[in-house]
Amino acid sequence: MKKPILLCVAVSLSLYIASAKSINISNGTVTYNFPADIAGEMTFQDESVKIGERTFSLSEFSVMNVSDAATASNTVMIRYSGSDASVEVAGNIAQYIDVTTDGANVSINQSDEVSETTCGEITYILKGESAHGSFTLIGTYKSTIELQGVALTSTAGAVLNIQNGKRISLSAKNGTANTLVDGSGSQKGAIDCKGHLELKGKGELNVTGTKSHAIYAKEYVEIKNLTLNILGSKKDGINCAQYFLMESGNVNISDSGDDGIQVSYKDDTDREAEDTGTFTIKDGTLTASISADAAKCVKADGDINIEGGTLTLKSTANGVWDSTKLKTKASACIGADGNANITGGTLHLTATGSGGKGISCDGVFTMDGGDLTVATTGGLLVYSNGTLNHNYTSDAERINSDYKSSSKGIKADAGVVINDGNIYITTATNNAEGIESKKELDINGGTIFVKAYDDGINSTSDFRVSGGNLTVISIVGDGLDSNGNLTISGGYIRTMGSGGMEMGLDAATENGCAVYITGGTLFAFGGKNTYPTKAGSTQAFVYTSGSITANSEVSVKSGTETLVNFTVPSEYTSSTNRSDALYGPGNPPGGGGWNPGGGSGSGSVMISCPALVSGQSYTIVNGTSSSTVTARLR
Amino acid sequence: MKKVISVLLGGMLCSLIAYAEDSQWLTFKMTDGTEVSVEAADLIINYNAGKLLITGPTVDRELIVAELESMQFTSEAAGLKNIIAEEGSGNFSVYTASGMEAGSFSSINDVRKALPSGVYIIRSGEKSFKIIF
Repeated sequence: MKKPILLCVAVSLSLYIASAKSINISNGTVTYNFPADIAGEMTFQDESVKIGERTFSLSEFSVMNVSDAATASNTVMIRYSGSDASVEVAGNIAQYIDVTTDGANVSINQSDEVSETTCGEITYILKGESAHGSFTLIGTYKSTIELQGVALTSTAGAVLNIQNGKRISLSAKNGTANTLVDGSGSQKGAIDCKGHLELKGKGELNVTGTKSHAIYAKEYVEIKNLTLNILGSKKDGINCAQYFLMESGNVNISDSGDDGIQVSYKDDTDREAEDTGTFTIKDGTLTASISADAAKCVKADGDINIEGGTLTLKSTANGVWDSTKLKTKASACIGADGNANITGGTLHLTATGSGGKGISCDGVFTMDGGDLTVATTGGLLVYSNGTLNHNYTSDAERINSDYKSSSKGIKADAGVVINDGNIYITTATNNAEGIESKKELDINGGTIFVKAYDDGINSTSDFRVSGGNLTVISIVGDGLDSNGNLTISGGYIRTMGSGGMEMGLDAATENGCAVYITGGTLFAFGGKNTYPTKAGSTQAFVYTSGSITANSEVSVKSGTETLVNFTVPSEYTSSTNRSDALYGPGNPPGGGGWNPGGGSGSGSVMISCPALVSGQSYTIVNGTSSSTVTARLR
Repeated sequence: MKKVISVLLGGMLCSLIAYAEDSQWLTFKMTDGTEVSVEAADLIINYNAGKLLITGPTVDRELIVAELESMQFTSEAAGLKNIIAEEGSGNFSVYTASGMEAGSFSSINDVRKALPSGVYIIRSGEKSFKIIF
């Protein structure tokens, strides 16, 4: 029954559309279309005619015709063709729309009288092609720009110049490919929007910014459904203020001269509640590759929130010396001046430039879900005597931190909290730590794998593990390194440091700090380990000396009963081949048989689990060797 | 239920067609009160030197803008509706521009079917008006 009804309605409408008359009045390039009911009685006076609510000078608008076609209400249609453009304006909004054209450069002044109580929102439809075209919209009320298959290259200025401080919906119609390139000038973007920009539609939009950003919005940017390809930009791929929100769609950013996406605070003196400088992605795919010095794939003045979606971010950018701040400045796949929060989604982050990081935030890094993979292979950046060294391989311990920047998987200045999710981090170069917190560090859950050249996981202040599954390997540093206390109350931990003074488990005993174990299952190996203190620890531990190899088994037995068994991870190798760092768990680099310990091959093996009872004897079985030990609370 | 839907759709269709028929003519009202109607379909109007040059499948003529008061889409040619209403019978006489009687008709469509394109005078009782098609 529904089909016949729809058919009848369609037939009725088509009869109506085919039969109803409209009068068009044109100046050659701009045509105003008035259906008969909108036109009403058209009055003549002084060589002019008033149609609907607009008066036209007949010397300018000298051509009229009657047609059966009608421009949809509240619509302005702009058709580009080579060096020209034609514009059709619906009659019901004629009095609100002034159009000027210069070849294929179309400028529209939308009257300030446009509002919900007059005609409501107006839609501007762009079609056709021009290598010398642009579209300028001036107004004070929200508007929609719909791209229905348009390819525009501006020769001067922004290709879409939107001087309207309200919400601008920029939509690419389903099934259409649209390409926008700006020209010479001082514009801030190929798409330069004074207001907030909502990018949507199931079509494709390709944007190139030759003079500045590809897309610039003075206020927020939201993306939904759209496939957006930023093909190149002199500065950022997308630059906006207030906030950036991606709900769905596909965004691909390449060849940007600065950051992939940058979100800024607007102005401290004029900031509204929503103006947080936050980047949020809820779903969709975001791919960005950047190479500009010290640039970020995603940078926010506020927080960065990853709630879903798939992010593939790659930085090949080297770090630089900031001569104003007198400190080195490095690249990152994700850089937040606020917090970095991951609650879902899949992230693949790769940083190969000097000092390049996976995630760098001034606030707290928190992970509550999702899958995060980070690989960094960039060298240690050192500025010395006016020269930048992008791969400093000597001991950098005594170099002031302002003069160096090392690659890291995650670096957070105000703390790290990991509650859930999966983290896989590899680093490959001098000073490159896996996870570094400049303050406290808490791991309460999740699955974490780190293979770092330097320390695996490092905190400047207290380090607590209450849950999760941790596998941490350091090639030349500590596995878990706390510069405060290190407390383990839960979780399953395998931590392997290097040899000599480097440890599997390291607390800042030199500063009076200690390791405390009150729960969890721990396997720690390194040149040394910081053994837990008795005061504050409630769970016993055993230790011995020896060496371990990849894929070997280490267990603790009580008589014939195995209390706990650890498999040394296959990734436990000495390989520092940078390409190896690109491997994640399940794809281990080759090698094996690595024996850290400064050449001795022997180190400290420490194990703790809930089944151990202080004072009782146990056997530690390490490969083919075994030793009898006594559990203790030190 | 089907009947209700059919009635609604029929009504919708009729109203749409009726609306469409409202714009079959473009009627110009002159400052002296006379009216001129031209068939609206495919009409082109060019302004030049104070005149409107009106061309279409059934019309080719000029109107002086200074003598025009207004124009409007109409369902009938100028004056016809009033004449039919006043005379009741709906019959009217049609003359050529040179004054020759061309026939008696009851609808403007009958005139269009019977006569070649051109300018005609329609007279009914004491009233007359010009028609172009």
